[in-house]
Amino acid sequence: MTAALRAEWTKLRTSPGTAGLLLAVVAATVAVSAAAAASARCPAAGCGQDPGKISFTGVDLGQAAVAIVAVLAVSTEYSTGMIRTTLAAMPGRVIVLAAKAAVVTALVLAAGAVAAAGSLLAGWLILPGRGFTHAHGFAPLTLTDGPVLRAAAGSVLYLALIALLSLGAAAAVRDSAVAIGLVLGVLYLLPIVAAVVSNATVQRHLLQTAPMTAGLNILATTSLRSLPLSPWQGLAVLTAWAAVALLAGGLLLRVRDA
Amino acid sequence: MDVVKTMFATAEYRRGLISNTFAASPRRGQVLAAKAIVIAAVSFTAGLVAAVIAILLGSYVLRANGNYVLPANLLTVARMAAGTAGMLAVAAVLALALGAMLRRSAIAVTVVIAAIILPYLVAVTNLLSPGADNWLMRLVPAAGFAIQQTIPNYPQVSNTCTVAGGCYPLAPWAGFAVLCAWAAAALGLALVLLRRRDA
Repeated sequence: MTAALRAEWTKLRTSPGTAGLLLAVVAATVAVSAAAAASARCPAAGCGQDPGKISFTGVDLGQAAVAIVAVLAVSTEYSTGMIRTTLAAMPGRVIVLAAKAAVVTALVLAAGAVAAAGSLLAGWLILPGRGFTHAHGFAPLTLTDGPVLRAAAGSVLYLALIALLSLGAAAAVRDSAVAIGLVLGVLYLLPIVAAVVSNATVQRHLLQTAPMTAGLNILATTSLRSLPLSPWQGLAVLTAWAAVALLAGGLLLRVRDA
Repeated sequence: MDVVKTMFATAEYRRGLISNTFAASPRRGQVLAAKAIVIAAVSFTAGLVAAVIAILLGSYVLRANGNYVLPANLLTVARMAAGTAGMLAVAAVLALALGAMLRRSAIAVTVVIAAIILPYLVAVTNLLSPGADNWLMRLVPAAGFAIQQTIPNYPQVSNTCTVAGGCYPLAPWAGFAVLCAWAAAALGLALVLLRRRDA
């Protein structure tokens, strides 16, 4: 396993684009979070806004870059033919996938931590000027506040789970364009469907099962009772999605000809 | 009614987009232009068929379930069907241009989705304040969705205009023009890059 980890680390570190994409994760997340914070308004007490959710809005866009990193980690091997060398050197295919998952997850956790810190800083700086003040019933965003800590750590975990989901999908379909289309389709289209469905029960079930809407419950810091799922339940749903994708990718990698 | 069509449009779009970006490894300007024309024509035809089916099926299902469907005259419906198909065609050209520019299908697909579907998602789910939503839907390629609006806007009625309610901040053709402008700019840039770069 150590050798496999080293091999995957070397491949990911030296392939062009990895560093740029991880930078894009941070830049996209922080920029969108800052923009969301700057466009938020809380004119009076009880405005019903969630400062935690607003501060981490950038995760919506950052996850797209995370998905690219994870998909490319698998699919470039297929497009360049590298996969044959990899599997000749390391015949244990499940170990190869596990090593890839470990390396990609570690990198995404690191980038996600920077992105979350930047987003939190942006929210902490911008939101008080937008009406999120003590007078309107909001404490400043700090990590010593339990829900804020959960949202910050949760956004990092969310990104890591998105990486695992994308990795599994890429291992299953083997082509980068199809894999990224599949992942982003599942992530972005299901919430649109959920938003436009008029039947309240169907809508609630969709919000509870779609990976993005369920997983993003972890960002909520206020009015948790009105959520379709509790924060950790939501993250558990996303974990199930990632597990299924990894399992499918691992099984297909094992039984199929490369 | 809008709801069903929009869903069909985005799903269809994603499928079209992927196969298009696949094909996006052209050599030089003429090839790119030829590819753009072919892809636009194919997407338009496929989109038109899908849109007509979606409109017929959507209004039938809505009526069968006892919903009142706001009357829209034939011209508006035709504009919506042709507009949806046109939107898919232009979006396909945008995807092609980005594919030629970026030369990595995964990144190109992501950029197109982030430019068209993500703003729509943000607007539909009211993630930002309504003012910011409207500005977003005016500026990004997702403005093209405005072509699907069938309910007229009356300035004297102070209904808040939200995308979730089927109301777009731009007039239908203006929104379509925004998408066209993006596609044209991307195609132009792709041409310049293709001429300059080593294939």
